Formats: sequence, C-alpha cells, structure tokens
Amino acid sequence: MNGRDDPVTELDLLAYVDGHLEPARQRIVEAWLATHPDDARRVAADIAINDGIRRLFRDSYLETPPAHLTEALETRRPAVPVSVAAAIALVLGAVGLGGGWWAGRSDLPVAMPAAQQAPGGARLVAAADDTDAVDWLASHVSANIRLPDLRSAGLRLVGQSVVGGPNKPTVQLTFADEGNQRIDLFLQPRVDDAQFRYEEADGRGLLSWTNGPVVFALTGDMPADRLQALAEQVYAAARQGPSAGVPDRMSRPAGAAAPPPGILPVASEGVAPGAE
Amino acid sequence: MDDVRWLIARELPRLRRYARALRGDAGADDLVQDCVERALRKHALWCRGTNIRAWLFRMLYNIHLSALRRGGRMPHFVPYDELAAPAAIADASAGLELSETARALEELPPEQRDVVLLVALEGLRYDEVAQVLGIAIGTVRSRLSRGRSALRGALAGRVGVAAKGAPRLRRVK
Repeated sequence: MNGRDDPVTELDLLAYVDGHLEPARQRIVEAWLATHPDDARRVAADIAINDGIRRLFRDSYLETPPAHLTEALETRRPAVPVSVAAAIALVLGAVGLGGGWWAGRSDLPVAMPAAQQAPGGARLVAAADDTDAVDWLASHVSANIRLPDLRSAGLRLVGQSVVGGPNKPTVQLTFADEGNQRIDLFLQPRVDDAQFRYEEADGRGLLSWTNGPVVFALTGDMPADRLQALAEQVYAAARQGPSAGVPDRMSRPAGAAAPPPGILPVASEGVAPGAE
Repeated sequence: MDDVRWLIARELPRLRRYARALRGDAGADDLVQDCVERALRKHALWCRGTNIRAWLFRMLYNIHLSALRRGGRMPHFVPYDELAAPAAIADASAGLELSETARALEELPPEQRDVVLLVALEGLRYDEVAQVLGIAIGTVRSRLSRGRSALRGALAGRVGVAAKGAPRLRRVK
C-alpha cells in the first residue's frame, strides 16, 4: 500500500488522531506519517492535546454527582442490571493471600495489602461505615450494582466496607460458609481502562471473565471445581440479583463470547468505558 | 420510565464533564439539572434503540446555547488556576501542561472549542458530533481542524508538545 494513489488528507489526519479510521486506511496513514515528519509531529501533538483535554476534565467525570441530580433519577432496579452498569470490576479473592500475589497489578485494589494486614479491622476509608457499601459505590459511579446473593452456594454476607483511597474506591464484601471459610469480593470502578491479567501463584488459579463492561476475577483457597461452581454462582447472582436464579435467564450481551466461568489461562480484557 | 431514568443516570458523569467543559464549575450542574429535567419530561420523544447519549448531549448543548442567548454573556470557562485537583495531577510538570492546555482552550473561539472538547472527551464520531451540535458534518471537520491547529500553535512553544523531535504515534487513549 502506498499513499500515492489515494493521498492522505486533512480529514485522514484528524480521524487518525481520534481513532476513527478503518484499519486499512489507518495503515495507509501510518505509512504516510513514517515518511512525512511534519505531519507525524502534528499528529503526535494532536494526540497529546486530546490526552491533555481528557486529563483536564477527568475529575469531573470521576466525582460523585451531587444528590440533587441523582435524586430525580432514582429508580427501582431495571430488568437487565449488569449489562447496563457502568464500568465496574469485580475481584473475588481469598483473605490471607500473600501480598506479593497482587504485586504489579496496579489495577487491583490499592488497599489490598492493608486490608490483609488487618483483616476485619482497620480500613483506609470509612466512607461507607454508616451506609450500604454497595449502594455507596453504585452512587459513586452512577451504576446500578446489586449485592450478589450467594446463599444458594452456602455463603452468607458477613461484612461490607469501603477500602482504597478516594481515587480508587473499592467495596469489599466478605462472605462466609458454615465452616466459616471466608471469601472476599471486591468491586471497583474501572473508569481508567484498567485491564486485568491472569496470574497464578503457588498453584492457585484465578478465574476471570468479562461481562459487558464488567470484568470478574475469582480466586480462593479451594479446589478448582469448587471455584468454578462458585464462579457460576457469582455470574448468575450478579446478573439476576437476590430473587431470581434460573440459569437459562443468563442472557449475555450481544457479541459476548462463550460462557465465562472456567479455568481461564487468558486475561479477560474489558470493554472500554462508554462502550455501549 | 424507570429504565429511562436509569439510562439517564448512567450518563450523568459524562454530561457533567461536558457541562463543566462548556461552562466551568459555576453553571455546570445547573445546566445538567435543566437537561435532566427536560429529558424526564420529554423522554417519550427519545426513540428507543437509538443512542441516548447523543440525544442527551444534544439537549444539553441546546440548553447551553439558549442560556447563552438569553444571558447574552460568554460562558465562564474553566479557570485554569483552579483546576488541577491534586489527585488528578501527580507532578508539577503535568500540572503546568494541563493549565497551558486549559488556557489554550479558553482562547479558542467557542464554536471551535465546543467541537474539539466533544470529540476529545466523548470520542463521538464526527457525524454524531454534528448531530449533537446541530451543525453539518463538514462544519464539524473544519472547526475541528481549525481548533486543533490553533491549539497546536498555542501550545507548541510552551508545552513542548509539538517541539519534541521524535513524534509519538501510538494512540494513548
């Protein structure tokens, strides 16, 4: 391909900056830029400017809308909750994991190590002490998130709190079974395009999957088949809420791949915020 | 109706961001509130299945323009010394660059600024931008082209954006 027969235009350069070009056209533009340093500099500058504009208004996007705006919009839960939720990441982990297990995963709750040092104890943020942590997160990200009901898996909710700093609000939900074995479920907005990767340590597996704008990751100190069963519970519960539980209502977003639960050796890559 | 409320609530952070970009902190939430109220009144006019974001943004923008016409004053743009919440900006150099970006935006003609902001913040296609702003797609392109050219000029010497030798072509978004 070359640009001679189909010269690169001003519109090409604009659309390249905004990522609106078809792949074939994008390659043509890139070939053009490789040999036209002035245009290349210009495009690089435009990309940097776009990035600066996004950073400039990042806080406006992240902050919790004031109550007078949300009150008029308060609503009962719609029929299809999760597929319309804003970008939320769920991480299900086992209490007592070594801190190193999470090392290098900037997308995971920053408060994880602290929470582990003081299990059930001190939290970095007490914002949700007197309210429902899930509701707090839901209002924070304007998403309709519901508390997964895992009673059918023999798990009951024993604690919820908000961990992480104000820039990375994370809700920690603790469930326990009859034997008092605990699992923690973390919910975190992923408005920064956080991408979760698969990791494995000491034979511990991590189940992860994407559901629309939501990435789920599940781990626990238990056999893989038990984890898998729980993953299916989480999947169904997060989609359907406390009352329903019929497996064949587990509708998936259009274009979604195979059913998520499974021992996955791959990273699940999330959908960018704003994707419909 | 509940699901429309919910769909609108989802867009609140984006609506507030664009309102903030159009008006600055002062009038942004009033603008969003007017938009939400109008959207709730007129939700029957939204065609289900079409992009509610574009519908809401168009409403927001029209209210913004009407208010400008009524008030006969220019929008109060982002005061560049007031932005830069410490959380968002890690180091001084990034802060400097952002304040320069804000200043350069402030100096753009409003019609160019509205296009540049909408494209950068929301990633809308140019035809969607045309729909939101109620202008022709060719006008979107020409305003975007002129707006970006002006921003490059304004920022070239100050930020080093365009002055750096090796261009960075990788998309950062």
